[in-house]
Amino acid sequence: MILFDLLFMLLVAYITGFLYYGLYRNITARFQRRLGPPVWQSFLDSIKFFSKEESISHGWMFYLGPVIMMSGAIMTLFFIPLFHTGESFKGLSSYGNLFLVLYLLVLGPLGNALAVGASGNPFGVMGVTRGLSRLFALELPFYIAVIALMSLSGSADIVCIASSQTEWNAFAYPLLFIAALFSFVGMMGQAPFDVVGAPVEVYSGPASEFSGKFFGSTYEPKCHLYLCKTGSDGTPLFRWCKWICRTSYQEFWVISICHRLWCNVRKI
Amino acid sequence: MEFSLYGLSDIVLSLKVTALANFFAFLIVLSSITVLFIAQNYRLKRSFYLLFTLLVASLFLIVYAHDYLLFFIGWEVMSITTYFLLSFTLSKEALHKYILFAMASALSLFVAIVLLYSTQHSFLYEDAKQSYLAMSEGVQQLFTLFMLIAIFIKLGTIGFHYWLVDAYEESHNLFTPFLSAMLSKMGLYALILFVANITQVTYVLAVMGLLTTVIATFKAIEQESIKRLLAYSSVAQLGYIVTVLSVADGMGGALYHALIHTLVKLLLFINIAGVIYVTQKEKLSDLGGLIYKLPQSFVFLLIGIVVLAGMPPLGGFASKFMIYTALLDAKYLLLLAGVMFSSASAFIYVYKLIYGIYLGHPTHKNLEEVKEVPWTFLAPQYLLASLLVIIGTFPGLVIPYINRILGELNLTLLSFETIQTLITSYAQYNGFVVMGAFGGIFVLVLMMFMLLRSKAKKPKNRFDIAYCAEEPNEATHLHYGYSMGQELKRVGLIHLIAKNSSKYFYDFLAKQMQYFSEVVRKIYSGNLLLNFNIAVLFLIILLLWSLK
Repeated sequence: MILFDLLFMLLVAYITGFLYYGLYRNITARFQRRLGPPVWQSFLDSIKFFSKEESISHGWMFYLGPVIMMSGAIMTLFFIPLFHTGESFKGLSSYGNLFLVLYLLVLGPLGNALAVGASGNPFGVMGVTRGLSRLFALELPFYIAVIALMSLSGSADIVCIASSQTEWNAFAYPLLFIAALFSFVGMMGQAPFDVVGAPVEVYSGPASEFSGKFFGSTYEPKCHLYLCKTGSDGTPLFRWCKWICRTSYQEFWVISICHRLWCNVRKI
Repeated sequence: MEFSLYGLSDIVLSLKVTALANFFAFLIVLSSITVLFIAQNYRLKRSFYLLFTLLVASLFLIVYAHDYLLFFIGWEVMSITTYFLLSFTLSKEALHKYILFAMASALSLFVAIVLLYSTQHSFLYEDAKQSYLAMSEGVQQLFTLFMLIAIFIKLGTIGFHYWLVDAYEESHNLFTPFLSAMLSKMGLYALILFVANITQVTYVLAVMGLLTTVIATFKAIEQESIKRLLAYSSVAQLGYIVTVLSVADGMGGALYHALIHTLVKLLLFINIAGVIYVTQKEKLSDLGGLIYKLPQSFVFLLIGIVVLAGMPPLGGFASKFMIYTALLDAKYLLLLAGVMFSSASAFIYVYKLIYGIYLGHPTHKNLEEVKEVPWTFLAPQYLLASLLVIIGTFPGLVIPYINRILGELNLTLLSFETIQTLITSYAQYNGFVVMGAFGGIFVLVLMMFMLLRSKAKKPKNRFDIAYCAEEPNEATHLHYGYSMGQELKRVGLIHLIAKNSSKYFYDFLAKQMQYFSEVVRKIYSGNLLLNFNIAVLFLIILLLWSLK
């Protein structure tokens, strides 16, 4: 039973994650007065990356790094419940807690960093260094917000935190929410904090040396992580289930679209 | 053991086997066996083994002693044998630093013990609490101060770590694992005895521990020498333990982290010893690209850094989890945020470590000719790494043992259901599921990768990389990533930490001491007449004072 649950979770995450990303690209394009790609473009990109040949491989650690990265992303997903009510879409969340999720979020970047180091490209390492420096700067406000929530609800279990709120935590503790939101934008690699990907420099940060499925696997966790991070922040902070209908996916659409919109406003 | 036959009727000494003592004795046995395993690779003087055995014996005396006098004797023997063991390789300055600090530690411990003895005339641990309560408040504070100075010097918390870093860096590669894994744990043992048996010193430990973790982490980031980096990391890890001991229910987390830290520091220092053995280089800037030459060592270092950073599937997460929930339970929220912050900052130095040694490009020609380290280095690493993996999979495995210790110390027990789960008051997690999920997903993703067709060519040489449309060659400096973390100095707080050092304070202290001794030298010049006059003056003052 749990395997089916996990499989469905992965499927939902796959579809929604990529649709978010498509939507994000679309909206960004509109802000920049472009037409932008269609919403399903990210699917096509993903299929393309995975069916292409790699131009080069730099040994076994280079090969395993993206595997660790993808496993880290999928694993994070499994330990975050998509809903806190009902039976389904809980994943493995009853076996873990918020501390575990906070550390699992770093597992993917570790795989990435190892692969980049093994590739021997100094530009990639430059990106990794920036990523790590950004990491601890952004984690501090995020930790403070999350720790305060854990302390207020008396538990580090995500389901408990989500179901212990009487009104939305985002409105009950607005300052915490703002602190979390700021670090959140940074963790997603959005506009003011996107120096890791080096968008204005020649090479695109850690991904310099990746091609084909390696690049695809850096791309896919990105989409998964979008979802995970919305989940890890969103589930405790919002009590969406009471507001919108209980079983449909609408709820996390709405929230995440709001979130995406917020990101895009920052970008301009 | 009584000494009434020798005219010392008050003094009762005793040795006792307790669960706490057994816990530390197990760590001593484990570290001495693993350390002696790698000793076969070095040509050492016979006196080294003699002193090493004496040191291990003194450690056993410390942990099995049940009164402060035997404890102090063990402490002294440990400090002095360590001095001789260090004197094989240490420079004169580092050696002087070590002995000065070790003696300061021993003397302040001695003062504390004398103060303790003066009230109830007993050295025994059971009477320590009563002796403490019988003191007046001022004496209590004085006692706490001296005790904590002794412990902090041994632990090397920030401000008192001045000797530690140099000693770790310059000590023999064989001895460093033991130094980091075991000798600092003796300070921890003393602290646990103090906190559990005598009194809680909440805020001092909390502030000291937090300062230690944060400052030592950022100091570690800027180091270039491998052993110095690991020395600072050792200091930082002990900071977590000190922090969590400030909390009433923190003992479980502290013991758990002590175990994990012993295992991981043995693993890392033995790994580093192997690398230094085959390459003869000790700086990150001289190494690089060793992954394909030493693949097994690379995997062990990877396991080590994953544990050191506290990432989930391995044992490091279990102890971090215990520490975090203990702090959360005591509502030390900002303290917890600070500890988690320094734990996140630790990612930089662990990545710097693995990148500088194994990844990137080799910086010297002869690095391309090294072979895998001898099996005597690898065998203990297999043992330690498998222990860490087992603890990661079954995080509840050590809980019954820790509970036995907590029961002896009259503290609240940790809840225990199965060996797979780790349960605290705030949350629980199942290590087996985490490990299984990671393994399963990893294998599935790997299979997917292998099924996808791939014609990825191996590059002709290591310079075949994307390099701004240029072709790097031998002369191009491609391994500069080892110095990562230098740019962080632009951040205000980190700049402050990097710029300052306890060196300035101790230099100042030394200078003051010199002035003082110059004054003393003027009086005590060897001139007999002057000395006679002073003595007469002193006698007259004494007489006047006693007549009054």
